[in-house]
Amino acid sequence: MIALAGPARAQDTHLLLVAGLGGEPQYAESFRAWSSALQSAAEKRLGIPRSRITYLTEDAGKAPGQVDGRSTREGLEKAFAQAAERCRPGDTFAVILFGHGSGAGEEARFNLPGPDASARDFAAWLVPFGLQRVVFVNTASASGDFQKVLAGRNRIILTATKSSQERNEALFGRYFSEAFSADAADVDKNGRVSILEAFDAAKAQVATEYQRERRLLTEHATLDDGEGGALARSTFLGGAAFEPVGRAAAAAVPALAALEDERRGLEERIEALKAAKGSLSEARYETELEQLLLNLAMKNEELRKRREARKP
Amino acid sequence: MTGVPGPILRNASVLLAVVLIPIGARVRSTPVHAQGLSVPLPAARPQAKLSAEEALRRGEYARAIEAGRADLAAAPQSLPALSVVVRALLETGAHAEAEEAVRAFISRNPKAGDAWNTLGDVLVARGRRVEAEAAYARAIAGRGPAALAAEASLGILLHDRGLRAEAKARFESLIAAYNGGRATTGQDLIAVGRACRTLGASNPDAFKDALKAFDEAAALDQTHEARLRTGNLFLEKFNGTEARTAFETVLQKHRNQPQALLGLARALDFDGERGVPQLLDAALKTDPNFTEARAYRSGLLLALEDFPAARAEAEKALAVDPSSPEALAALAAAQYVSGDLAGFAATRQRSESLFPRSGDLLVNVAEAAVRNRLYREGAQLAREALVLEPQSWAALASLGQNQLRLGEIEDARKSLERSFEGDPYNVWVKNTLDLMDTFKNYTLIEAGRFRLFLDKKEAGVLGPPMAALASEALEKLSARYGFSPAGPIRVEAYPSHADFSVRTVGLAGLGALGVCFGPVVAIDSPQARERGAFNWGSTLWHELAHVVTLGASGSRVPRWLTEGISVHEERRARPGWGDDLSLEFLLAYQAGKLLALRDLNNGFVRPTSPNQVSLSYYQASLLVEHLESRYGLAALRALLGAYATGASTEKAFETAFGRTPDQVDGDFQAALKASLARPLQGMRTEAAPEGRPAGPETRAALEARVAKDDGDFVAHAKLGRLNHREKRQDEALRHLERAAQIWPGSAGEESPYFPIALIKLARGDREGAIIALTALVALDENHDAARLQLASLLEAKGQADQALSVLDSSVFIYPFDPALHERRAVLATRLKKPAETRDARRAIVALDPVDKAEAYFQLALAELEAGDRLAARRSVLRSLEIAPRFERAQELLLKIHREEKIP
Repeated sequence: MIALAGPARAQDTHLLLVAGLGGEPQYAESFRAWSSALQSAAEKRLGIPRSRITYLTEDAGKAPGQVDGRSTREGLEKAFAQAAERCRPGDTFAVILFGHGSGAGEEARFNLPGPDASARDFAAWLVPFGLQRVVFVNTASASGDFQKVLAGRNRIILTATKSSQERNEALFGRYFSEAFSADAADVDKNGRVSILEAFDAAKAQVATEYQRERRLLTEHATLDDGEGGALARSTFLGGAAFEPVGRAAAAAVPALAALEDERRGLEERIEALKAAKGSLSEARYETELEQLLLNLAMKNEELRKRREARKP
Repeated sequence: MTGVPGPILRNASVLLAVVLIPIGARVRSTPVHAQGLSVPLPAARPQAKLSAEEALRRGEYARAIEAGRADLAAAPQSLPALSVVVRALLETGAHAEAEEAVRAFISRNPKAGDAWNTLGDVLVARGRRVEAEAAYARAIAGRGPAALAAEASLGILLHDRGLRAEAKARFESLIAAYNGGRATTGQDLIAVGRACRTLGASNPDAFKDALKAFDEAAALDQTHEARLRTGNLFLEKFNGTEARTAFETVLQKHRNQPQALLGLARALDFDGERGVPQLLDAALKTDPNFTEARAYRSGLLLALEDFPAARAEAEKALAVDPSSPEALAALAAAQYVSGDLAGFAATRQRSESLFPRSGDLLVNVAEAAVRNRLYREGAQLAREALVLEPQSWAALASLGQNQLRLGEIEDARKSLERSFEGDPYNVWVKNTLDLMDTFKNYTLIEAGRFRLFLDKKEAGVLGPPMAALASEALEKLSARYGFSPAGPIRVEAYPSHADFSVRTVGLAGLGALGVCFGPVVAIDSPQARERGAFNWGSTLWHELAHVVTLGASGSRVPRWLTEGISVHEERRARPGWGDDLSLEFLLAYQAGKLLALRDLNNGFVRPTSPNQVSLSYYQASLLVEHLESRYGLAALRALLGAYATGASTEKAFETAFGRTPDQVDGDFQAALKASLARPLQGMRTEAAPEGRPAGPETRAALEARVAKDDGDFVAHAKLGRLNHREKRQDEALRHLERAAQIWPGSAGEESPYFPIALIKLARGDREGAIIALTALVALDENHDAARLQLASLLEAKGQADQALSVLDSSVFIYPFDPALHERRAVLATRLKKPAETRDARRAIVALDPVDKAEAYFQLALAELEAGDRLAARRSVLRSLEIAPRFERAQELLLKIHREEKIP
């Protein structure tokens, strides 16, 4: 079996967090809280260095150490330009907006203190990121039309609503932020929350919340990555440093590296078996799956033991 | 023309070829009005004739008869004058006088062929069909203006008599006359329409032609006949709205027109609206010998289970017209449903001697049987109807619906599809077939005696608690009533209320939550209604009680009794289940609006106010409770047993209680009065028209009320809620607690308990909140929020067992909440109840959570704890299939394998 080649260097994530115009104190507070929680999670859980996080809010003075500036149109334009300078090819540039939205089509707007930023503005600001993977998340109400304006190759566009007609206050942002603050959204238990996992978790939480409140669901979050979710499934906020079983660390010890390769091999065989499920009898599938999963479990157990044994 | 009832196309079914050249495409050779004016009349005559005709059109019968007779005196050969007089006499039930008038005319004018047509109509009304045939034949031979009408009437008589080929030839000659431009008057066009309507039995498209013909006739004919026939045709084709329009158009001109009143009554009945008996009364007031109205009234009485009255009404109709098919069917239905099978056989034979190839009587009896919950018998009668008339689409529809009610799904589909091919207008059949197309989304779960037919998306959550509850209910109810149904019982749950409604009555809009067809029960699933709107557990228990009482009584239990037992059994099943004493009931009692035992069925079948149904349910349950406490369960069983033998209510009560229904009712009323005395002490509100409390009152008015009378429950409850809304919690609590003190059993919207709990909770008085919520959930089976809150408080207090029990009761309200099951699982684990933990975890998995790997892992742990290692192994594999790197699941898989030494 051939081990997968590791990347020449870790791809970095550059994060731009924006809390837009609150309008009313309770909204301003919600947007600030959600964006602040994500900023904290980005640093503490996802391992994104503070230097690669830009955080803009409506009232930057309220948290001077934490916030990098005001979320005005001008401020956003500048932040995009700075990120374009910082990002290297292969990096991920993630833009996450919390706030209200309005308008429709190319003129769909994200509401900011002063002039709003339109979908067309964002499209223009994203032009320099042709060699990066872009994650653009607009959690605002009436954000649906951003998707068709911003969609493109190597881009993952998430919106809180499916169209500009869904104008009620959106809850998606809260749960999208929460998805990165705990383990619950990590449904494949690989120790990381992918963009797809965060999206699924937030969407489900929104539906539960509406159901609990006995309200009709007025926001239908959407995701478009041009690959039916595959790109979003393999995209994470934060770099490879947070790989649960450190590949780099394992590589330093040949025995561990071999085990790690065997484990990866088993994982690939499991994925291949799952892909072939439709063509196999149920009994054969179950038997083979169980054997592979058992082998994987034993391999992981061995890896853990070896690692434990090496601890001083 | 508007409102042509297009056939309801399913799967692009192909209609038969059109018999007629489309009327709208035909070019008239002679302008209608020129034709009408082409007959020269004496100068003085039109005014007099118009006056009689107009008087008849407006329902001024005496004037019409008087003017018509004057016209006849002036012109003894005037057929129009004769027609007015005879129609007026027939419409007022003076059949003998009508015959006398027409025979006198014929004796004066022996060559007036058209008078024989009029005589034929009179003879048909009097049930002398053989003579009528002869009269029509003479009219046809006379080749007068009424020849086509006579041709249609004779054809219909022959058709009814089973001489279908001969009848068809006559109908085709009418169509040829039409297509040849020879049917030019309103009377002619009505004749063509009648022919097409009869042909419609084998050619659905002919109904459209009939409608067009009637529509054209209405433009020409000065009588109401064309519109009345239009209305009836719409009714036959399940278009109640257009039927109503037609009948109401007639009634605008003649408010007492008996056929229009009957038609409107049928249309209202079709739409489930009130006022049907009153319309029939009005029709029979105009025409006391209106056989069809009497037959219809007989059917209504039968639905109310007043068998003697139903029979008497049918017999009255037959005294007028001994060969009326409607009256014969009504009599046969009354005889059959009341258990007089010998009488039924005789009436059936009598009908078949007159109408040897018609299945209509048996279809009618089948439907009456179904209305009285005799579903298997209904199916058998429909089968027998099909032997007589294999192309009876109504019989096939009835058979299919009953097969479905009996759970014979595939047979039902075949019957309904055949029916729909023949009659694509039947909206019930169409809706039912559409519903059956969705059955692929359902799964059938075998659970002991039960077959649970559940939506695939709901089955995992709903199936296990439903199977357990159904099994418990059947065991307990069978033991109590000494009857255990043979064979499996099918329970269907529909996540769409519209689907449940179609399943039940063929149409959307039914207000019920559940229905029992004997061995088949259908209910709304908890997702069919807003959360907290109903309790599916108590609903299922209620329907299963019907299964037992219908079985124990051979399906002859009166409606009030089976409903009363079902609600009574709900209350016995779980704390808080079943109807409780409501403010609405107290006010209705206070206003004297409750029904006597003898009339209690009316409250279910023909309620006179929107809330009478719910009041009757509760009243019936109190009556059953009274019967059991006064006479014992054995007497209640004896009552059902007596009904099973076909006993009347009088006889059944005598057998079971040794008393008459009136005596029992008297005792019950006395007991009710005593039991309601205390809550009634707190009732001060003047009842609004529907027995509901009057509308909102101002703070000042409410404060004045409580100042004047501290025992006024409603005023205290309202004032408490008002203060609570306005955050004046001290005042709110004072009034709410006073309200609870006056009437501790208040459970409806006016109940003070929930706001009391909220206020106490906000003040940190957890114990007070627990007391209020405990009182509320003991009364209100649907209050989900109260249960969830109470469970939290009990859990915090360390009463995990009680908390779990409260949460378990929430499963019967809304089981599709993952958070509910998570709480249950956690509590059950803490209480070391592995089976309960496993059940809750299974529900979580079935709810398709986002984190499926975790849900399966937790389920595997619970299954292992419950001793089901095989299931645990399967579940942990499912978890790892989703998340192969899931370390805790990997460890569990290894543990299971190592403990089992699986290689």
